[in-house]
Amino acid sequence: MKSEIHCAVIGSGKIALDLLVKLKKSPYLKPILVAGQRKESEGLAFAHKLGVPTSDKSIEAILKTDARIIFDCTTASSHLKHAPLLKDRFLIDLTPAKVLPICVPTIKSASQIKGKGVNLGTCTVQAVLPKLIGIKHLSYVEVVTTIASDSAGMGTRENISEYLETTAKIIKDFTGARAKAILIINPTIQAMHNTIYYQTKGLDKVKIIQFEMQGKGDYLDKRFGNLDTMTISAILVAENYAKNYNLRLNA
Amino acid sequence: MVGHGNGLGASSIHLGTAKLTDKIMLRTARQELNKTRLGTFVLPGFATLKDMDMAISEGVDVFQVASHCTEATVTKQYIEYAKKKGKEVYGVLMMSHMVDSEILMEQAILMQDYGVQGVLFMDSAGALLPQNVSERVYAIKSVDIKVGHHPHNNLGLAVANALIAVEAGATMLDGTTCGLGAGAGNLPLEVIVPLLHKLGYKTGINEDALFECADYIRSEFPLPKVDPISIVSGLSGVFSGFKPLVLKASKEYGASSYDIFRELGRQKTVAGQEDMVIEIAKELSKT
Repeated sequence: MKSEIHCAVIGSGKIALDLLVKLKKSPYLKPILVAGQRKESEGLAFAHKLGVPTSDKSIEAILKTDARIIFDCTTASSHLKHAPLLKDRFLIDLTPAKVLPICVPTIKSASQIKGKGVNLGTCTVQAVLPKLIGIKHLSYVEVVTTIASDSAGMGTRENISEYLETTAKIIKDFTGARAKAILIINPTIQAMHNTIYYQTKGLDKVKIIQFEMQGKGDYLDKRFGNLDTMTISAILVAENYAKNYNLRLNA
Repeated sequence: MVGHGNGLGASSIHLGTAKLTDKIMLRTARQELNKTRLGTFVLPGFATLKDMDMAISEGVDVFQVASHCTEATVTKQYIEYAKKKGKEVYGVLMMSHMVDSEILMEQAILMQDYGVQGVLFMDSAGALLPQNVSERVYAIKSVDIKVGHHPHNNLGLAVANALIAVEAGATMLDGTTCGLGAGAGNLPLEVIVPLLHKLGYKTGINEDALFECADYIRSEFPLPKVDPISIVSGLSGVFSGFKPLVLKASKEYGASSYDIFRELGRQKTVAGQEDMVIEIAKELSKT
């Protein structure tokens, strides 16, 4: 039996709305609520237009639903308040709170998606780890990410230092290599751009991987590949969770 | 100012590795200083607050916190952090030729709100003409911010632009002895200091000590020159620091170094986008 699993989104910003468009397209997931904080917000109006129920009561409204999967698209500090209240749900955290284990769904098999939820780390992590994970004996990884100015909100801009540290730490945790992250913000760039410089054990030679990532343009501008990679990963985690959940129910 | 050309934490494969760590550079400089304050450069995107902690524990008194000329908001966290630690902080707007003076003024106001003691605009590409410099000084000064200028000599204008900046009301200049620095070099201190004295400005700098220092540097280091590649960098409005990478990529991929610079300029690359050099060189070598 195939069934759509109920999902809810906290937050009504750009990322929440892009996620919502992707949720509507998923055969496994059904958005049953988008909860923001302001009744008249453009985000909630957009969600309403998509035919998804909305609320301005944020986490309180979420708690009243039977949503199995909750996407947190608010801020790290709000997430710290939400997490303890949502212990019986599966939480996908798109904020930089880092309370839940870091997940890069493109390199994780579906059956590994379980527990209380996941955090998605940073856009750089989601974009570059799939390229690195197959390389053996990595000793050093340096990643330069360039993103469009208008894709970086004040949340990102006031936390650049954490962004650099978190990205380097996650890459180190996943690959075992020493890692450095660099972030450039450019007012004219047309896509997220990544350059990975890496070295393998015993060799000085530096190898380079370069690639661009455009977004799908679901709600966010196509230039914002950095944000799109986060919502794609969030959906992938949720779909994998949903598949496992259905398997468990049918077992 | 002591450290890697792009500041704390910038030593990297991407930009070039420094021969010494930030820590050793700062410690070495600190030991030699009696009256002079020790400064260092911070570029959010490269440096972290932990790098700033290290610099503070090594005795740094002054921070310059920089961003691309339209991105001042990324400096907020770093400026406020340095202020909280009781340090003197200046804001730096890089690649200032890419925007008009009004936008530069708005960005300077943001930095002022975060608590800087002054704002310097950097002619990172050595692309500004004297009239561009004076209008930028007037714009920033008009909102009651202490203004400084950081010239590059790509078009042979570093000294002229520095003088114009001072005449327009700038009270800070960034320079190096013998102009040692990226592209065709920085503002040579041993030239500008006596010139300022001649015009009646006080700097507190001992000319003979400066000349002695300049003689030493001339005997020890290769000096920057206004060579054609630096001129093309300036004309194209591309960050001067790209020069060594452009020359290397030009050799490796057989593309004209001038064309690489022109294409970097056409794509409006900003400081820190050194990785674009390889992509563009590869692309050009195909045509």
